Amino acid sequence: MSPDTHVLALIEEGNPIPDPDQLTVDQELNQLYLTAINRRNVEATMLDTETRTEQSTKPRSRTLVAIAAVVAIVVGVAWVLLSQNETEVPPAVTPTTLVSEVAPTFEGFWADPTGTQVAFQDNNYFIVRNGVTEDQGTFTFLESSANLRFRSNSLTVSCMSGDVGGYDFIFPNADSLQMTVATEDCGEFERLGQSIALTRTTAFGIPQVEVEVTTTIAAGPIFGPNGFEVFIGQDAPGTYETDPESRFRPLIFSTDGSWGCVHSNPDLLPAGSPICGSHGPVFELDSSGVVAGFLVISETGREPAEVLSSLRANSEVVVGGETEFVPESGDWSSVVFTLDAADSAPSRTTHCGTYEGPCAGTDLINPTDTEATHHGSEPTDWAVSSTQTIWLITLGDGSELVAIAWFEKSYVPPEEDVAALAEAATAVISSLNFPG
Amino acid sequence: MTPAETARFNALYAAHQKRIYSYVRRRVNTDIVDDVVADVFMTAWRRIADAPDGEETILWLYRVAQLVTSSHWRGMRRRKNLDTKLSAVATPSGISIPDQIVVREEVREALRIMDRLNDNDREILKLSLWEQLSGDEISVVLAIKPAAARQRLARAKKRLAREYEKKVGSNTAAIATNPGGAL
Repeated sequence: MSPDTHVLALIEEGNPIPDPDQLTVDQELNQLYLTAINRRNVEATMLDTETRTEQSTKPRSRTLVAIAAVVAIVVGVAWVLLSQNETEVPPAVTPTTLVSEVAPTFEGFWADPTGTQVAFQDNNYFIVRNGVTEDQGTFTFLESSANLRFRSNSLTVSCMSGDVGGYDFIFPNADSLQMTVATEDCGEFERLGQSIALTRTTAFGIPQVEVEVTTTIAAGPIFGPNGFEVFIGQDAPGTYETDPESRFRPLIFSTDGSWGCVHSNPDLLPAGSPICGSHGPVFELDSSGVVAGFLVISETGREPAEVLSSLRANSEVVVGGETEFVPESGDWSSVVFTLDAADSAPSRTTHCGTYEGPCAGTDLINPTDTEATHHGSEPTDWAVSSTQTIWLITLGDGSELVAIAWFEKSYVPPEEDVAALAEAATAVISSLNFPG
Repeated sequence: MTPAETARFNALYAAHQKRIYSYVRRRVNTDIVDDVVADVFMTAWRRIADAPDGEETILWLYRVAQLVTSSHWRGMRRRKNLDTKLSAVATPSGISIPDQIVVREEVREALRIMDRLNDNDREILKLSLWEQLSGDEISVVLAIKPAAARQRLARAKKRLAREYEKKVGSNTAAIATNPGGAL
């Protein structure tokens, strides 16, 4: 066999999926199930004939409805499959109690003097800095308990190249946590969302801080030290369609006590997560630029109106208009964004990551980048030009507003569900309280 | 969407979901396969009127998948720049297939070599070797002329073979100069 034939044969052999027909139904379900949870949203949208009328003159609305419709169709297919395999379908966003499979002595909450904290719980890790979750994901032990592998849930926070910079980006204070890169995996795992292996160079000599991580820490993001409360704005419970061009999926409030973002792999997003990854879901304004609702998560117990009022006073937020949100000082570990409220124009959305503060603002904004949003929405020949997305904003001063989301309401739940949903959502949020 | 179009989309989805899933899975990180596949079918839904009938349907879907996947990687690259400002550079393919599958070392090495080829070469090789498409079919997916597709495929194979020989040659040379294996 000549070398060229040989290498071609090797490539053929390396086909990750040599026979697509052998794919199992489960894999299909894994994909389709997610769409099923949008069922009510889709139904509401499909029944909204007024919206249908509007779509003829509003490209963005048309797209939204179109996407809702495609979801409906896919749901139909999914429904058939689900009905055949009902018992195999995992709940997507139910609050779960994960079964710990790791050495219990390892679990706990570790901190370094600079304020970076790492919590290990039920195979999940959380890296928190100044009260803001910078990264989270799963960890597993490798061959020996001395080696750990971290796998970030976030596609945007991960190993970049295996160099120190990339490493630090994942784990800002790895050295002080006495961990070092154990393998060269990073060199090959250059892809976002891949994993990095770390090794404890000593037996975790950092003293455990005073708090013990207990089951009260849900497998979800940790926003701050104490007392989260959730406030739900008008008609907030329900299903909200996020940017259809984005990889992020809807934010769900459901009557079973769960809420969270939905990702294609529910396992990657723990129940009760109000934020997907470290950036959060994308929400849309309606076509007029009016914010249709809001969700405020605050740890201070203030009323939403008060929080919003404070925001306006401090940062010149103008709801529903041309907006420039500038932190009052450089202390916040996020956020600057701009919103182009013109429906017909391409949106310009950007934000600063939550992991590198303070945000310098314009250095991360490319004024010429008007074609696509920072995440998701890549222009293609069929792409929607106007998305008007705003990112969930994560404020990281550790004492006040933690997150705020603006979204377009696309589903109004029955009135009797609202109270139950609010109560359920509050309960879930309460379960995120960080003890101590 | 008319009932007929709905039925058509349903049929298209049922018939080709696995192959599109496989196509995407062969090119992107496993974590995001579902999202990309969903985007492909969303696009297909929006463009159902453009979908050809018969055997060309799957080629058209491959074309959509190829655009969506490319778009995805453009976004990933942009995100990298914006998010990190690090000097880290993504490899062209955006996914390291060799690291994700269990294969013997020789195969892994060949996949790594393929990964080092440019985007166009890599894609056309995958279409040929993994999707098992003919030159004419590849031309539909890539929206180029059949002759051009065949030519590109031939060139890609040559480049792959050349790189492979180079690698194999250097390994052989290393063994020859260092038979004991000590460095």
